[in-house]
Amino acid sequence: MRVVGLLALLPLLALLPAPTEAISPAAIAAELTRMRSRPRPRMRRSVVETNTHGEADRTTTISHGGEHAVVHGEHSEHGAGSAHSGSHGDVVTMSYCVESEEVHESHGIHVASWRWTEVQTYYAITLFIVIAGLAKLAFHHAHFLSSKLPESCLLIILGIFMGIITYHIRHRNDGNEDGPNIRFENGTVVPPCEDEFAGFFPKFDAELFFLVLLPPIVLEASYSLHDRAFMDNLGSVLIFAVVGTLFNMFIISPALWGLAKAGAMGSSMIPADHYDVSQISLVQMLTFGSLIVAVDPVAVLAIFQEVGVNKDLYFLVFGESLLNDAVTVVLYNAMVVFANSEDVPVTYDQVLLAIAAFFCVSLGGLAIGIVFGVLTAIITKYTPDVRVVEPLSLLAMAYLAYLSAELVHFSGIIACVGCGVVQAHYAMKNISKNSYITIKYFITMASSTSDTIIFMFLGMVLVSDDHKWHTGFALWTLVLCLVVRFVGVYLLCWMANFRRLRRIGKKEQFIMAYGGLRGAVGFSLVVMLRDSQIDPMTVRIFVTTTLFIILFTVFIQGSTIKLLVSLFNIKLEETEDPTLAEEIAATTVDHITAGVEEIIGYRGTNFFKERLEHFDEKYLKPLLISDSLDSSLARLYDKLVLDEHYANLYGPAAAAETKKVDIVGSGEGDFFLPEEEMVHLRRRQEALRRQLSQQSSIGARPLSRLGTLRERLSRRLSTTSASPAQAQSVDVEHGSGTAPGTPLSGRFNPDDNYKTFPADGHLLRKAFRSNPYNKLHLRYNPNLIDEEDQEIDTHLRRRRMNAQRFSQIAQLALQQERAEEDAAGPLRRTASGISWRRPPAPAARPRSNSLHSKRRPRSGPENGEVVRYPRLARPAVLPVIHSGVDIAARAAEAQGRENAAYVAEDSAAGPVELTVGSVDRGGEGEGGSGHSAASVSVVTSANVPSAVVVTPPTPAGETLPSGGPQLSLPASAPATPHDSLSDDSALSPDQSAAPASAPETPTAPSSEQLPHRLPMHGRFAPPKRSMTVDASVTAPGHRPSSAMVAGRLLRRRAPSQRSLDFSLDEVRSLSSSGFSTPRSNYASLANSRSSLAGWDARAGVDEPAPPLCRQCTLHRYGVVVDQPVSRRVCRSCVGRRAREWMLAAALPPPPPSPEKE
Amino acid sequence: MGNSNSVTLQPEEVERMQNETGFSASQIERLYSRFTTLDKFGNGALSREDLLRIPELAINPLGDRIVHAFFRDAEDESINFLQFLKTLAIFRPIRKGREPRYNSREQKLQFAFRMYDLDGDELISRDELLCVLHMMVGANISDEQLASIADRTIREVDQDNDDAISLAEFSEALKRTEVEGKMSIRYLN
Repeated sequence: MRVVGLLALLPLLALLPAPTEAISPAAIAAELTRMRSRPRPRMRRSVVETNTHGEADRTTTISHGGEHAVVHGEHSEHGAGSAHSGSHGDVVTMSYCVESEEVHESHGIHVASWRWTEVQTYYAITLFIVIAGLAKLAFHHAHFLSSKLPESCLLIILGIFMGIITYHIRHRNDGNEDGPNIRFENGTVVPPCEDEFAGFFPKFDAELFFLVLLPPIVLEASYSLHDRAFMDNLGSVLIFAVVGTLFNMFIISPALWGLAKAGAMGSSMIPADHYDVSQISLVQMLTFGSLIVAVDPVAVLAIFQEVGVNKDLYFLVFGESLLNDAVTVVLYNAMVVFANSEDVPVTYDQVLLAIAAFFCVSLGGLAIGIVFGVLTAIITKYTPDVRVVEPLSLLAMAYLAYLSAELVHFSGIIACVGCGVVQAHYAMKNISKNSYITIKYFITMASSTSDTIIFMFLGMVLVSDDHKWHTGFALWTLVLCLVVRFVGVYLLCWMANFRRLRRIGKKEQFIMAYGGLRGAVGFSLVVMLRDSQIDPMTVRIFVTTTLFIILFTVFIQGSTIKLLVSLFNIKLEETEDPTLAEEIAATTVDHITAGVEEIIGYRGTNFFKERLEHFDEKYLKPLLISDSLDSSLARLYDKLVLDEHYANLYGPAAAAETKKVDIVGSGEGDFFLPEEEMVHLRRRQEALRRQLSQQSSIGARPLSRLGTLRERLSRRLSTTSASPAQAQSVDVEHGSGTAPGTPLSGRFNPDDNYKTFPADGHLLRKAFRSNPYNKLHLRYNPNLIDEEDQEIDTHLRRRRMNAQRFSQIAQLALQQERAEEDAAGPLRRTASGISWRRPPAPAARPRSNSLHSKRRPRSGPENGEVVRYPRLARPAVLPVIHSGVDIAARAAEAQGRENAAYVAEDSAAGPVELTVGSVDRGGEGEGGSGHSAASVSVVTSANVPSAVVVTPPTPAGETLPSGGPQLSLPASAPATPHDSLSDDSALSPDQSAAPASAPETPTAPSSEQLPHRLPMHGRFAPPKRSMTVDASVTAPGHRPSSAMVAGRLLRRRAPSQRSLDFSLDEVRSLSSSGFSTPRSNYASLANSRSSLAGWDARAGVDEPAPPLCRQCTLHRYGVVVDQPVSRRVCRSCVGRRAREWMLAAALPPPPPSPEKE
Repeated sequence: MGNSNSVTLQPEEVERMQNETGFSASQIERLYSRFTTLDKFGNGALSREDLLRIPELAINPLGDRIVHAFFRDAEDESINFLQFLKTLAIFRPIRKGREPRYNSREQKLQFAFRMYDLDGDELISRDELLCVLHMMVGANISDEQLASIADRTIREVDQDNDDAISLAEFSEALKRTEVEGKMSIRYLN
């Protein structure tokens, strides 16, 4: 039998239903020999014999070690399921015979051994968790399901399936082929082999639920309770939790009792036992009522978070479900006591004791929680150097609070809530950001796993022989639960509205009543009834009815509540961040109302809030928080700045992708902004026009600076309909740089560049957020926490590394440039001050068909299409180009503001022409369709490492391509079979043959040179999520920038090979197969400043001014944004500090560029 | 305190005040008793010092500004009971179906706006904002950060690029905030 049990588990592990027929003796024999041949360690076996004379006299014998008490199953014959065969007993005997043979386990070292018995419990538990996790994963990917049904329903269904599987596995041991056997003994259903799986499979019981599964959920919820909205609604929440629960219970129970007595419920479904519900006593009914009114935080949380209702409503329902626990548990315990001693009359002092117990349980729990919360704060005050203990101390202390409360029979839930709120208020401010994220992730992980497990268990428990369905009782309970809930909520809302300033609307009241879902709390309580003195049949009816109510509420109400919320037009939660102004105003309003209450001498809510806050600020925070220099305003400010940074960084890409979806979906899809955004935009345009008419001084600045963002975007993103002329105009606007006043001119007026930013920043943020990807995966997904904020530090560090690297490259390239300049003569200057080195007439240039042209030295005018930018007075305003220029500017800055080769990115319009090696302009026109587009050239020359040089679009007048998405490359370029960059390949025959076609200049020492490899400081982290952009549907405007391409190419290489020359094949494969664009690396080659500035500039909008330096408050710190948030100082301050330090220490000067430190 | 003659209000006076401010008679009674308590010298008018003397107001960082707001329309640095009532009427909760008189959203916003408007020119400049921010959260944020917060706030809210916040811009910025409920006091209901 044990063998069968073992075998049976294997298919369970694989989640495959095992065949129900008995295993053939041959298979068993084979298994036995297999087992025999394997030496075993200590054998621990539990022998379970089901001597089925009812539940009570089931005997369990456990034998240890080698002493095997072989208990031969002597199955009594019973009436119903008589399919028991004699072979059953044989199997048992066989297996134990085998085991008793195996006593030679002590000698020898085992390479591998089978130790199932020792790990089975943990194995099964872990496996169960894994299954739960997989279920969640699968659910999340099944969008068609997740949009229709709440997650809890799906999990219950999955649980039912698992329950069926385990049920069948369980029942196989009985050897009956025809399904589950339900045996009746003396009118009761005897579940077969109940304990069979007790050691194997986690079983849902109250202890597991209350001590393991519930605490994470409560703790996670309590962290979210640290919120203004909850505190504002606390009064109403308490009314609902206490009065509402009492009301519900004391209506439902007597009503049920009365109905049963009156015979309104009919009889049981199973005629075998003539159970009469009227025999249920009032106390028993009250016990049942106390558990059936328990609105369950798990179910409510799961559904309300998904729906995303406004905070007031959310906290009203959720707070009620959390806090009514105290009432429920107290009532339940009292009622069980009364029910157990039914013959003893209930006395008044007992009732009084119950009332006292309520206060003890709730307030005592709260006190324990607060004490532990304060302790946590004190602990974390001393952890700045021992950060690893921070997450542990918070989580463990909260659990300890829960357990301590449970220890003395107080409400663990309330203790946990108290502890969590206090922790969120104090301890969270002591810990580092990483610890915070760790905690958030851990608790979210734990609670969602618990959630999953609970619901799956619920489903599994459904499949059991243990149920007793009583139609009348179940339906009446359901009706009463619904009706009384609604009546109660309306009544209490009516009462609460007297006190509330913001009234609870009728529709919200409906949702509140409708959202009273029952769940695991009630279920656990009803399961616990089995241990009480109540007649088991009654308990079974209670269990089944409770399950029915839970299923009804979760399935019917849970899945329709979303619909109702949208139908009723319930205000949803604000998804936008609060603005600074709102935050400031909120503080102001608090002080104002408190002040007025002080003046009129009324001790109201605001008054006490102010006093409490004052007390907190003055005494508690200094005591409990290590760095009390903290305020919500500062935090919000940091958050907004980061947010903006991200919007600038990813907004364009997000916008482009949104657009792409539009194109695919509708075919035209004009723009992604909703209507109100357009209104806003138009208004701002109007304002700007008015302003322009007044101030002629900035009249030169085109309207497009901010107003035509939309047009630009749509043009940029337009599909193939983009005519050359249209694209050309874009080019002219921000590509040519000849028009005075366009950003390219490099004029920087700090006064007028930032005023318009909120709208544009807003726009970008909006674009970023309304990106379908983000919508789906970031916004409404409770499984992710601050995902986009998280990687900022590493992200920025990586980008700084790259910037440094590029600086080095550019610097070295500059030397080369200078040498070339000497040869090529003076630069031509354009009117706008931009120095262009014009390529000579294409016909005059030697053609370079070879992709190995990169090995040609960059000397001579024939590959002089590197467009050079003017000397940069203000590098911050480098326009047009997203990321690369900024790097170059930085490089230029680093070496005395000289021109450097620019690693530049193409502008928005037109496809990228990516050429390898010196750029072949394709004078004959066969490959040069991308004339106006930017091109990347990879420079390699003697003793000089390569640099990527990207030319911006050539000025107006050149033809634009028709918009094919493929990169245009010289058509006649022969393809290299492999990466020509590796050291060996440089000398390989096919490569040495290729340059023959490329005319080499006499001074070509570089053709033999290997590209210099710069050390890679920062490793490119693999992208967290990737998104495939299908090149075929991508608008021509939506090209990956050349810097991105270069970065991507780099990233594909082995770290040892990350130099900056690329073979044509690499480029081509990348371009033709469509890009996999890792979101987090969109601009990973950019340095940090460009991300603040770049896209705004590209779209014709000046960069938003970065906030002021914290040190001198004069400069904007954006230059070194990659400093930690708390140390945002500008460059000059860093430099000054460095100098001071240098003087003081009399040490050699620090490295020239301060950010290298 | 020598104000026995003014302890009780005449019924017709009460009615007039009721009509003017929307308070109920009992509320007016209660507020009047508070008024007389505050009115130390019993001259039927409150001075700034009378209000500033309230001990609880001392911990309120905006206490000064709130008191100032009471005296905004007062010519001789003192307010009588009606003026007192009118200012308080701003904080009456808005009841549905009743015409808001002093307690409209705009008036509530204006009161909040005046907290910042130190010089009374109906514009909040950066310096004024910074000053008030200093009063409210100065202890918790470094000056530099506060300055950048003020900067950014102005930038956020300012629409006509005058580097200052007008009342219109202020209420536009707070259009998502539920000012009606928040700037109401249950006592005055």
